[in-house]
Formats: sequence, C-alpha cells, structure tokens
Amino acid sequence: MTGTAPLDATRALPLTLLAWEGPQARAYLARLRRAGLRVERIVLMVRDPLGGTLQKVPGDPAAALSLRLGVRAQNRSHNFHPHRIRRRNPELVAAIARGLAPLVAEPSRLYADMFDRFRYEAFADDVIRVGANSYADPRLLAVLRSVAPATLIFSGGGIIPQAVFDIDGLTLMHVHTGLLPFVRGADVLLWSILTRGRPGVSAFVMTPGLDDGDVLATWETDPLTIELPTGERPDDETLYRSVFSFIDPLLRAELLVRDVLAPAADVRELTATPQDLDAGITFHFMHPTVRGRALQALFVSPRAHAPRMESTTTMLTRYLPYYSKASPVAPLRFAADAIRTKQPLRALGIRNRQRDYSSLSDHPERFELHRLLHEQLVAQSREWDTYDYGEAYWYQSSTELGITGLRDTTARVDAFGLRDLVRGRSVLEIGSNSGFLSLAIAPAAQRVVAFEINPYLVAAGQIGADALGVTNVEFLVSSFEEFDERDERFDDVLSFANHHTYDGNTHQGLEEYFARCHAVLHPGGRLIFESHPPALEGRDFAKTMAIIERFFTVDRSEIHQYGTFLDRDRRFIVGRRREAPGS
Amino acid sequence: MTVDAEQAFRELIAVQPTKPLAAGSATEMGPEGTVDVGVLVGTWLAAGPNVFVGSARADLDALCRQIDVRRKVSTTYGAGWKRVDPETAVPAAVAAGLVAVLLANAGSLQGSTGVRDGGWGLKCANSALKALDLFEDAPFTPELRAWAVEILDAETASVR
Repeated sequence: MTGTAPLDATRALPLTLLAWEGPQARAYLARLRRAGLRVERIVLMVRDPLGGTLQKVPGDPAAALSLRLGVRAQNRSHNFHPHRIRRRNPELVAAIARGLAPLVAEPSRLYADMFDRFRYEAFADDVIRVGANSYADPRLLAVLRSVAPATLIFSGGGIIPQAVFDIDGLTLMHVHTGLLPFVRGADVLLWSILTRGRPGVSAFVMTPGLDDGDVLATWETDPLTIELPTGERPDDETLYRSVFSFIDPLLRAELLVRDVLAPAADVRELTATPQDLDAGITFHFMHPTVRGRALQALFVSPRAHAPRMESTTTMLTRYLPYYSKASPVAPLRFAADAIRTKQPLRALGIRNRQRDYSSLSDHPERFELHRLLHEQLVAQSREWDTYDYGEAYWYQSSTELGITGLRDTTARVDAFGLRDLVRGRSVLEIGSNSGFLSLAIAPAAQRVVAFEINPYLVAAGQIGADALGVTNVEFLVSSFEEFDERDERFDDVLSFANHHTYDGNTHQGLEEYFARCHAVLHPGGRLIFESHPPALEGRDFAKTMAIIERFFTVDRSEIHQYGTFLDRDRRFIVGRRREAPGS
Repeated sequence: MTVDAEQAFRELIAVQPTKPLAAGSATEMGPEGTVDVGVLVGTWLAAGPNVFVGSARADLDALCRQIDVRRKVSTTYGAGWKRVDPETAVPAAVAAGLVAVLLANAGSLQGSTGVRDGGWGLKCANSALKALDLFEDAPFTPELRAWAVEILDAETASVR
C-alpha cells in the first residue's frame, strides 16, 4: 500500500463489497480508507480461466490453481486500460487529477492506492474469492446466501438476475453517474455532460429494473473540464477509457462515501426516497460521433478551439441596443438573422420579432413595453436552461401588446369562444407561458390565476398586465405540484397543451395530472382542455380521453382550424367535473 | 447546408413500401397490439416533421432501444414491443424513414439553443446515427448522415 492507514486504523462498516475486479471496486475501497472506514467483507468474483468445472470439488488443488490463475488474469485484463494509460499518458492522468481536484480530494493519491501494489486484503477483514463468470453463477449465489443478511455495495455493471434479489436479507446499493431520475442508462457520465453540462451522481438501492430503485443521495457536480496538456490530443478511445478508469470511479466513490456511508449512524438503516419513474430519459451507449462531441466538451485541448455557433444569449444581447433607442438597422439585422439561422421555427420567431419591431414606429408608446419584455427574454436565455418554446421570441401572441407569437392567441380565444366560456367565472390557467392568453380572457373572467414554472415568462405576463392595466390576473411562479398545496378552488381550469411538455419540467403522469385538474375545481367546475397537435399526441390519444372522461363529463369535443400551423388540428374539450371520478 | 425537413419527409414518403409489412395489418396497430413498423413510420412521415410527446414518444423510444441495444429493427413487434419470431429486418426505405423521424425529433423544434429538452433530441440523433450504420444501403444515407451531423453541431454548440 502507498501512504494509506493500516487496516486496524480504520472503522469497519457492516458492509460487503461485491467486487467486480476493476477501477470501480478499488475506488470504493480506496476512498473508504481515506475516510477512515473499511468494509467488513469483500466478495471478489473471479472469472474461471479453466471453465469452472474444476471448482466443483471444494479443496481440489486444481480448483485452487484455477482460482489463482483467474485472479491474475482478470487483474491484468480488467485493469488493462488504467495501467496502460498511466504508463503511456501520465500527463493525461495528471490533467484528470487536476480537473477532478475541486470535486474529489486528492485524486492522485487515490489512483496510487487503486493501482500501485493493490491487495484486496489491505481493505477488508475478510476477502472471499469465488469463481463466477456471471451474477447468475450458482457458486456466487451460494456465497451470497451464506453472507445474508447483508448490505452489499455493487461495483460492477450489467443486469442483476432475479435470483440475487430472491435471496432473503440481501440489500444492494449502487452508484450511477447520472442524476436520477433524469439521466438513466449507459454512458451516462458523458450523456450528463452533453445534456446537463456537468456530471451527476446518484446512489440508490438496486431493484431488478434499470436504475429505478429508491435514491439514497444525489450530487450534480460543478461543471467538469479537463484541461489537456499541450501536445498531441489523445485519441477518443484513450480519452473514453480514461473516463471510466479515472473519472467515473472517483465520482461514484466520492458520493457513496462522503454523502451516504460516512455520515450514516448505521449503514444498514439508510433512508431512501422513491424516484419519479415517469421522469427522465434512458440513454444507451453513444455512437462514436456523439461520444466524440462529449469528449470534446469534457477534455479541452489548448490548441483546438472548435468554432461556436452563436448562442441565443449572444443573439438576444446583440439586440438589446435596438430596444434602448429605435434603430432603422434592427429590422434588417432581424431579417438577416432569420435567413442565416438553420432552424425553421427560430427563423419564424425572428421574423415575428422583425414584424413587431417595425410596427413600433406606428405605436411608439409600446417601445418601453417591448424593451422590458425583451429584457426578460435575455435573462431567460441566460438563466433558464430548459426548452425555449418561443424560439428566442414569444410563443403566445398578444394583439393588445403588439406581440406576434408562434401561436395566435386572438384566433385561439375566438375559435374556442373562450371569453364567453369564462365570463364572470374564476379561472386557473396551468402553465401559462407568457400569460398573454390569460390577459386576453381577463376582461371577461371574474378572476384569473395563472401559474408557470419559468419565472421570466411570469415576469413577462406581469409586465403585460401592468401595461394593459389588467388587475384581475394573478401570475405565480409555480409547478402544478407546488400549486396544489395552495388548496384553492376555481370555476374553470385551463389545460392548454400542458398534460405533456417538451421541456422535461412536468414529471407527473396523466392520471395524476387530471386528478389535480379535478381537485382544483369547485363542484360543477369545468376542465377547458386543448391537446397537442395529433402527430405529437401519438396514436393513443384515446387513452388520454379515457382518463379525462373518468374525471369529467365531456360536453364539447371539437377540432378547430385557425391561426398558425402550430394552432391547427388540436382537439378542444370542455368537461364538467364529476363529483365522484370513475374507475 | 441546411436540411429542409419537410422536403426530406416528402422524398422518403415516396420510397416507402406500399403494403403493410406485417401480414393482415392495415394500421400500425395490428391484432393483439402488434406493431407494424412500416405502417408506423409511414404514419409519422405523413404527419410531417415533429417532436413527439406522449405515446408517440414512447413508441419512438422503444425503437431507439431496438436500434441501440438490440441493433436491429424488425418489421413487426408484439404488444409491449416484444420480439416476434422469426424476426425480419425492416426494408432499408423504412429504416431511412425512421432515421428522418428521429432527426426531426432531434432537430425540428430546437433552436441554436443547445440542449433544452432533457436530452431527447440528442438521444434521437444518437439512434439515427446508429441506424444509419445498421442500414448502410438505406436510401438518402449521405443526406441523412449530413443532417444528423448538422443537428449534432447545433445541439452540442452550447457545451463545446
């Protein structure tokens, strides 16, 4: 061992490490030792180079030989990449250690503990080596039965067979390098970097499903960048192997030891929280091209700076001066940007902006309003990291405010006869976006409460209300789940294409969603519902309808042709609240 | 190069098989919940480029799994996307159509804003690239591959 405490200087935890030879098992043990801890027992799976038949006779010298050969062979094969990278690319390993240092204490010393003269006996009171070529191997199952009841730290990959879960008294803990419930599956550290801009780590209790067990702890780290040394950039294969040799194992070990095991009074009595199984995306192994992009993001080469596309923030910030003082250049700039963008909806958003900006010359009194609204879009692009429905401009139109959105609010209100529907009634709008629809129906309604999870859109709605002198709309920053806690009831609830969302911010299932709609209504209250376009709803909208009909008696069910291409073909429903929801 | 997704869909519709791939199937849902992938892809193409939500997303997600994990896309699946033996790979034109649907999901509602959908777009682009590797003789492969890379450029711009 290098620079580590002797075994008896550490505190034994009543845990068993189910060790699949490799960097992960070693990282757990090394990190535990750094925290002054150790596991009581290690069950080390050893692939049997002689086919397993010799080990059927306990005490057989040939079986013992097979086991010894297996230990040696898998030490070489499972740790091949870390040893090779440390030997051939020590600068890369040093760069990784520097990059990880803000997240993990002393990565270089952990690597030394993991790979220099490593012996399992130095990390546990008892080491059981069992010949097993898979988790379903009867020899492994027999050992696991013999150690039960026990809490196990799982250190391998792949699917655990039901036979393991069937062993009485066995609990398996696992750590996954994705933030649950949002990132599940394979290659998740790299997927996290691409999709969330930083690694996430989650410790959970294993179940037969994929990454769906109750969660013990999560950690979404600060952004991680490895500054590569000058010189030739290592190839993607080497970088990919280095992620799973040096980065992934240490992040997992850090969370497990720092947040789960070290603070626990009794590691056999840990508190776990169920996951939202409807949330998140299950990712699979990356295509080499996608993997290359993730590695470019993680490993920054000093001599290779990829050209960046202009971000939304850059573009919107560039527009700020056009809203301080009227500019004859602005419409030309908008037109050029609309042509230049590669995204059709983005182009439409910019053209809408161009049109509205041009109309300000006829309505100079709106200039200040548009400046305030634009400032919200800039702030949103900087701070709000989920899908931008308005494509850098507005999703909803407002004739009253001189805003052209991707959806035509006036046509929508007219097509559905919304003002007549809500006249004199209290209304709740779910997911109100910029609130321009709430403002459009406010003159007819007795009162409107509009909530939206995006604070910048909520601010835009309030700016619009102030400009129009609307006083009977209350805008709130809230999710539906949080709003539920207000325990307030309404005559009508507006659910306009919010039962699923693109942005990943809605985590409830349809049943739960419509139950909430039902719960926020007075007896006799109504659901006023608009679907997504049919292609987005999919082929079983009938199932959604069936759920709606359990909670509401449907009085109107129509499809209207109005407005923009995003408005058309949606189903519009008005349903009366059932007193007793059906089953 | 900027891909016209609408045009790409029209061209792919023109090369789709005219008959259902599964015997006796006229819609994407056949007897006992079986799925005819050719009809399903044809329906999606006919609806134009979209980002799916709800059950359409669940169906496309199931096909991503077939591509990414099982490395094959069959003409027919049983209820719950269960394998139906003997498995027959979808015709190359259907695979190309599926790639276009994946790329539309990866790109058509995304701006140059990077990743704003929890990673659904990137997941679809990943599966599209893998499908193109699996079906090397699919029509419009160079165009579809270029489209995928263009989307990847836009989707990963914010993290590069």
